[in-house]
Amino acid sequence: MIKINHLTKDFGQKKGIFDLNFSIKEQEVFGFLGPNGAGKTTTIRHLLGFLNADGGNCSINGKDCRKKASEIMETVGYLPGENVLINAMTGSQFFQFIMSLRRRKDMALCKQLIERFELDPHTKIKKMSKGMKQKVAVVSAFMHNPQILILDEPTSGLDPLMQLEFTKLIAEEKTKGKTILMSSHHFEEVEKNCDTIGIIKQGKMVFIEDIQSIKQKKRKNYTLTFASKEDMTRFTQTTTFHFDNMNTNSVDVKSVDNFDALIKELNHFRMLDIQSEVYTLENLFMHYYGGNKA
Amino acid sequence: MKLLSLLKYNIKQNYLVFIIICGVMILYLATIINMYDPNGLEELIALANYKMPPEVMAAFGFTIENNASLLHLINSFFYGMLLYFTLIIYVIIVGNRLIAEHVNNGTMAYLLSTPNKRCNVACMQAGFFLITIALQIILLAVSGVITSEISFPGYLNIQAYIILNIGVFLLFGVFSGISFLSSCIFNDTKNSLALGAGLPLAFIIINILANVDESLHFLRNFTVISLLDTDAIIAGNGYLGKFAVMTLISLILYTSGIYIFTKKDLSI
Repeated sequence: MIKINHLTKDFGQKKGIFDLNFSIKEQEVFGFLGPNGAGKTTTIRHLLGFLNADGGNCSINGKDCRKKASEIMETVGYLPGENVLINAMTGSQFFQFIMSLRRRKDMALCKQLIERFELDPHTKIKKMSKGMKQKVAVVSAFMHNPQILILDEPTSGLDPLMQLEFTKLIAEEKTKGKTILMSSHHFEEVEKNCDTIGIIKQGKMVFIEDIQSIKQKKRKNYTLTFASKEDMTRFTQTTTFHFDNMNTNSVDVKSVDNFDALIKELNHFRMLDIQSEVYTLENLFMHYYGGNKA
Repeated sequence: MKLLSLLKYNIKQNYLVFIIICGVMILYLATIINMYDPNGLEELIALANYKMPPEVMAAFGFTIENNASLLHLINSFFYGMLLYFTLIIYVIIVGNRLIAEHVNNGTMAYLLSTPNKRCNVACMQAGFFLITIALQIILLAVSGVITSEISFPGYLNIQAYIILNIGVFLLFGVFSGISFLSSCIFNDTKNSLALGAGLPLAFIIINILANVDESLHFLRNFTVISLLDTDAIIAGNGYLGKFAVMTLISLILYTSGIYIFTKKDLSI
């Protein structure tokens, strides 16, 4: 459905995206994560056909994003990361304006969304708060019932209640068979909404995996603390489990697939503590977000 | 029409500046027409010379003979320079708004995330620009003819006056072409204005300087305004070649603007 193929855009000074490859299947919700300036918006701008790639290409439904942008837009709803609406209009004028640029007339879904997000459509956009403007952007991305949604930080500025409402909306759209790409900084939001997660850092995809297997991996690491160094040494000499991070009397055991076997093995040692690593998505993200570890 | 709502938006955004500029021009022109005296312009010239030194008069294009016709007066006192300074304001403001402002503040993202080609958006904006400029000049020309016919019936060489206005439109095709091209090239309004306003204003100022003194006449080679050869228009021949050149320049400016906008990277 959405295919990104060796996409490269070099802005100089290591800014840009470099040989990016990934694809999003039909009916998949793809969470796009990464620190500021990592290249999320640049990738999205290529999908919208705003930027010319230096190398590679991207396509939606088999159509080249740059060359066939206007055809692709028939089926796409877009929420820009830098949300700038037309200040001189009211909310409903703006919706009318966009709908008529789409040459569509049916405003029923738009009205539903306005009610759902408790938006006052008769306020001038100029006078709206950041959150209100974001609601306008959400409504205008969804109001023509597009098959594909490209959302650049869709919940930024929304209050927690509206974020919840947004999560529900995404879930509903998912059951309607929509394909969704959303970038975000909210780990929980991504965890709740997405099927697949891709993390981009310095313009390169550093991690891509479906959320189920991430969740399964979660509780597979343990930190074992032994009563003495001898116990630990004996354990490390005999065990078949993969381990690292040896300390004076503690060791991390990684990728445990048979917890029962581990417990039985530990039965032969004097133990002080056994701690399962709280391997939340946040840990995972932080690993890629921060520092030079990745 | 595909982009009807963009057209409506353009109208809503720009009607005020259109009306103000058009109104100012029409009032100015009416005032100048009413300065005319069929029995000779000695008084007017004497008054003008009393108020301003001859260099300033020349710079502003106020150079006429005692027995000048009404068309000469209009041409020299209004079409010589004042018209440029008023209509260029419309060109600068609107030209910048049509493309660069949408890119600069990001609303272009909304326009282009609808099923509309960039090329169509740019063509719509270019068409709006040229048609509204034409409309300004048509209104001005019509008001000029009407005012002359009311105040001094039969004194205006209407045919030459209309050709003069066509020439002004072609010249503003070039000015607006510069402004439009610059609006298409630059992603922020600051740079778009620097070129889109700077270059046409430079041409107008060079034209003023070139008129000040014989020794500065060579400057006429450096301003497109020289292509509007008003002497030739009043004389009734020898202007068509220059008209063709202006048309060609505007065509090049507009098409390259549309082409650049269609191809360029948009950080929106």
